[in-house]
Amino acid sequence: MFGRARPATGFSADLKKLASLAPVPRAGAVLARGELADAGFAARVAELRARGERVVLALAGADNDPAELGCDRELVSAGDGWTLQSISS
Amino acid sequence: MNQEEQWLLPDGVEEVLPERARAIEQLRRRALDLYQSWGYELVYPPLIEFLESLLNGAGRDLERDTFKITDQLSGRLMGVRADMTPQVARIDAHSLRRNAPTRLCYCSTALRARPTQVGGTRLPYQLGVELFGHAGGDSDLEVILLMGETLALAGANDKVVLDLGHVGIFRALVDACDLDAAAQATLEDIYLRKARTELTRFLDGQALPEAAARALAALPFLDGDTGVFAQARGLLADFPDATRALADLERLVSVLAERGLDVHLDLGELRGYHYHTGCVFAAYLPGDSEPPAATITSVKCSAGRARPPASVPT
Repeated sequence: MFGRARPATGFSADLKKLASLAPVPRAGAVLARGELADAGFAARVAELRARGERVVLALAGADNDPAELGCDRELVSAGDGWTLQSISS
Repeated sequence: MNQEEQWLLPDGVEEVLPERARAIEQLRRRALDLYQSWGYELVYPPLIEFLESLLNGAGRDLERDTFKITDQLSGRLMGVRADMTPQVARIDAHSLRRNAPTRLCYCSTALRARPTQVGGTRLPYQLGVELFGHAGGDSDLEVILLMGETLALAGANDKVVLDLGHVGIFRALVDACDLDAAAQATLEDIYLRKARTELTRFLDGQALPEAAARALAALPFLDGDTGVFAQARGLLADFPDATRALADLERLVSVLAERGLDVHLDLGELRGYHYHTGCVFAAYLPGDSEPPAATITSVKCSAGRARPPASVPT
């Protein structure tokens, strides 16, 4: 054995186990019902994401079930803009 | 192999689904930010190494826990780390070589050849900190308080039992007895199981100094609150090293009590005895004795882990 002898103190834990000790509240998300090609829609989505929101795009022809996608609000077209409304479960 | 069997994961190997992954990742980020704010620097030791390098200075348990595979490039035997602590110690001793105390933290997956408990994981996501280059109560206290903050981040500080011991006490008694390696191993095993009748039988079968035999017989059952200190002081009076270890522990416990951290003392605690010489501290979940949610180990004057020269001819 060669090298330096250094005293050490430390701790170690299994993060998977630690993380299971307390429930983490499920964060909501926004289901965005629009087309990404629409600049106004895309800007609104980007703005929500920049605010820290989780925004899931509804895809054309897909089921887009809000519960499965973890969404509690949706971004929908309203008049000439976009509005955020809650999804009743 | 039918289709169902193709999707079967090996024992102790699990996949983490989104909800749980989010909880784990959130805690990882917050914990590493916390360590950063305490001056601990993040390192990534390698997942795999040549076996002799990985196990240099390690004990038998780590050797048994290590997955071994042959390196197709060099033909040499490699091991997947079963525990990152020795790797981090090597980073301190050989890669950084600082004189000042070095504070490192890490968070990565390790792989164990055997789970630590029946039905337990073989893929722990190991999170930890190490403070190198200081032997004394200050570093123990810093690390224990940081572990307390980590448990608080996990929302678990009121759910765990903090168990504190000092392997220096047992070590001092064993040194005074001049036991051979086989007898020591038997005694350690009895201690780990706290098997009272077996312990009496073992001690009766050895020609031990009376004071040492009396202390060794009592030590595994000295557990509970600070009341055990008075009892232990009397039993250990003839053993200066054990008395010093006990005094270290007492000082630590009194500071922790001032900070509102109650601990359960276990003076016969030998977990990690082969690697550690100082305080051992673990946070247990009630009803889930093994493995602990988090373990503190104080490796007083441990040997620096050696790294063989990079260009070992094969």
